[in-house]
Amino acid sequence: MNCKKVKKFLIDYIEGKLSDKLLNEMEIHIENCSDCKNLLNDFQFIIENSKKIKTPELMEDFWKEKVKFYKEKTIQVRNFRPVFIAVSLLPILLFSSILFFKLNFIPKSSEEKKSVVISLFDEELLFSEEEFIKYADYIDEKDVENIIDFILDQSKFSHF
Amino acid sequence: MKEKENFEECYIKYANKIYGVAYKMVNNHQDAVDIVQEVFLRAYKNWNNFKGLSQISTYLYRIAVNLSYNFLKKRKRFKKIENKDFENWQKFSSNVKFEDCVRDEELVDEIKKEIDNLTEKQKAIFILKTFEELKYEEIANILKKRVGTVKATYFQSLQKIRENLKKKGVIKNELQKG
Repeated sequence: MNCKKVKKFLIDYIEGKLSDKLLNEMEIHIENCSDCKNLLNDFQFIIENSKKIKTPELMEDFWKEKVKFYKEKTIQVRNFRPVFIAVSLLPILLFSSILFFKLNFIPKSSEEKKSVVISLFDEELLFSEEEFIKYADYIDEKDVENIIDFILDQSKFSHF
Repeated sequence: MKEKENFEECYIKYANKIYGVAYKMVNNHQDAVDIVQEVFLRAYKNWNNFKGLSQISTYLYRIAVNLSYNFLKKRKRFKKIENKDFENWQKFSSNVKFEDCVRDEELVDEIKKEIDNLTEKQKAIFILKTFEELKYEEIANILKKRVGTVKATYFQSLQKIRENLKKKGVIKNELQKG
């Protein structure tokens, strides 16, 4: 056993975790080596006195009070979370559904077709002839004529 | 650990231990309490994933050490030296008498200063080993380090404290007294 080996096993020695054989070797070396003996004494001294450093021991009531506040907080968060999500998603859903129906609604009857084209025109969503043709694809030739006549009557089709 | 009803029981059982670690790491009552609350908030969110109390304690210690690291880094960054706050906890803690605290004793105070001078990693290992009396395997598990690394770091911290106390003459004086 040499000083290097003693340092390697010193912590285990202090904690009494060494085998009998190793313990015996350590004790013989430490007894005859003042450096290792001092190191062991100093380490034991530091550990022993460190344990005297006290941490405030808080009463159970203190933690009971803390856990109560904590639980209330988590309950509040838990209860309001779906509401927060719904409220934040609502405008997005509303806007996207309006846009979707406006742009993808395929009219069925002549009257519906007419009203859609006019409303798009009114809201300046129907900008060009191409736009009109896009919608015209869904309507009959007869309806197209009727719609154009109607729009011209309204004097709103000058830019075509 | 499927039922959150166990949470309160676990909180009462471990809050003081976690507080002890956090307090020794950051040296401030209010900050240590904040760390405890944050540790348990995270535990609460992951409650259903825990398989047993041993796993929970490891998790709690790990988060407490990590949050203390963060706190110490933040404190270093802003160079704020906060006063040790003993008044706040006094009003909550009727069973603690100031005159009983040995922190005023010069020797213990010097050792305390040297523990504070350790690196964050050394400090965490020293606290978990000396005060919490955890096994090296447990500490290694908490800090996600190898057992050999934990042992070596503990040895280094003791050596560092020893050297500094020697420079101040604290160790020599005490041994002479003995």
